Amino acid sequence: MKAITALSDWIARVERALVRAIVLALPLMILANAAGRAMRSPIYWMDELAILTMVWLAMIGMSLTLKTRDAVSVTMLVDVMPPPAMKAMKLVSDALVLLFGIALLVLCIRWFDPLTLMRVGFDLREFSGETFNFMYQDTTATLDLPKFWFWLVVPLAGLTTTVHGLSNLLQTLALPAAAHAPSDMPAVLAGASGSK
Amino acid sequence: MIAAVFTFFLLLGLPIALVLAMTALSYIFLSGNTVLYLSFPQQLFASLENYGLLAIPLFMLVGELMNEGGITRRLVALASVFVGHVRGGLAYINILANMFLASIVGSANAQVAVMAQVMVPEMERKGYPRGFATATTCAGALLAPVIPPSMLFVIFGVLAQISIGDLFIAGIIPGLMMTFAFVCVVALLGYRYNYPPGERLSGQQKRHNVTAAIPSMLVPVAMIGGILGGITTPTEAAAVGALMAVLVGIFAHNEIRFERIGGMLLRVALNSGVVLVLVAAAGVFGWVIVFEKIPQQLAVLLQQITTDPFVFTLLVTALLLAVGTVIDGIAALILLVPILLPVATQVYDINPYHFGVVMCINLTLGLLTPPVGAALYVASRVTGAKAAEIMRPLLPFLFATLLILILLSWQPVLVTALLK
Repeated sequence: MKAITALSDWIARVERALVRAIVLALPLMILANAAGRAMRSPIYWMDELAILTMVWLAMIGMSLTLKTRDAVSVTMLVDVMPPPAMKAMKLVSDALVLLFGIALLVLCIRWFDPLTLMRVGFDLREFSGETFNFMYQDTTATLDLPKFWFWLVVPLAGLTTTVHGLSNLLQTLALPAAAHAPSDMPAVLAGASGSK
Repeated sequence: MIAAVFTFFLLLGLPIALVLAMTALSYIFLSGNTVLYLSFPQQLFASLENYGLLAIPLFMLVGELMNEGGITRRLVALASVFVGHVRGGLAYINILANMFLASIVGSANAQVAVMAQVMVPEMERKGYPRGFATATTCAGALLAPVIPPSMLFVIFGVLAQISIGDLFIAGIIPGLMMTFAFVCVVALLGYRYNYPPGERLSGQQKRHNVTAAIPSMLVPVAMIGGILGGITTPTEAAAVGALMAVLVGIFAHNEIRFERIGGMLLRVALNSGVVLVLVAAAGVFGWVIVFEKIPQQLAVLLQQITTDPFVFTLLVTALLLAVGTVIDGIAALILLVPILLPVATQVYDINPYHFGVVMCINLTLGLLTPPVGAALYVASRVTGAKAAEIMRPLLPFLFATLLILILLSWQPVLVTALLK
């Protein structure tokens, strides 16, 4: 259990650093593009890069907020339950987060199909001929890069969500049922950027 | 069956984004439409590939930067120049300052958190009851999602595929109407309970407050001017606003502390992550809505009740108020727009901008009503006033907002007048 928690904490540290960098980069990209347009030399691929970077923010943010339990949820019923029932509900909920992580990972493996790709020796033409899966040929509209580099964030988020989910589930299991852990307002919302 | 799965996940306290995603997965499993499994991860990604959504992290960043840079405080001081000396002066200042802030901050929760820290101690010192002071602040924050820029409008615009800039324009008249209504409520309560008059500022003090606020005013002026003038997209306006807030915070006020930037960026990242994931999950949940033909079923049901758009809008208002008490604003919007909007526009021929403004005001009311009034709890935690203590003086404000909602539902022109 300790190893899983440590791994999850380490992943969360990397994720925090990544999302901070993205939040800093987004306005710079938009401003660069607006400035370029004003000077009649628009950096036409910048908008697309900003959008794709934002999707990364969302996916990494999802994994991170599932770990910290900051995501919005309806806790009306959970809060009025007696402690043993509350613990049971938390366990089921944690198990479902873990299940979601695993499901996302499995669906991504089917989508990326790395085994077939290796078997055909990374020959993309043969890969899509065999599987009718053209995901590796898909390119971005203006960036001139294969799209799958950006899509990689989805299996990554599946993997990290699985680790975080497992770590949370083990922690809830170890918690004594009588301990009242109120599912209060998430702490992050106290800042000025509350999400609603 | 799928409705039962959805309700089970929701009441279990699973994060709402996962409620949507897991319901979609369960639907694929139950319906045997397994080809959708392959598109699932791609759809999660594709739902977010939208330029308008970029405004969400950027608006949140502007809000954080304004606080760090001392802009919020100066805007409050500016409001006191106009209404400080009349009876209940600080209550008016509160509403007016909230209106200024609403033109920069896009979210009611964020605004309550900030304003409750600034205004409530000040009002208490001047002799206002804490409950009323907090209630006024909460009411003022109702303006945040109505006066542009607004996070709810961005999301509605993305979901409904209509222009976010035009949606902002549509929010102007309703926002001013709400401000006016709140001022009336303060005036009535002020005379009824004999609230203390504010201090009359000296001419010198007034000049000082106005001069000190000039750099701060650049932020809302640049943002709103850019959007309404059609010079910048809302996304670019937010980026420009962030840049201005940094410049003003560093050079004009000398208040931004670099050691606090890391924490600020993380707050923005997590808060926008929470919202964006909801949008992504809505993309896969949309399959359930489409394949189960939920809007069509709802339309058949509703047409038996009424064919009048006004009555329909009132029914939607009742529904949203009920939903808003249990589910928070953005989540409720994401859940209900795909179901209600097609019925509203196709069956009842309601203008999508009109419908969007009505929906967003409705769901903001939900932020202030228990049992799940997030903004109410934020205010209560910041000021130490009990939720029940805030609720009583808040009721006249909620009632005024409800009246305006009915008025807007009845006369769509109040929303659409400024649209070309």
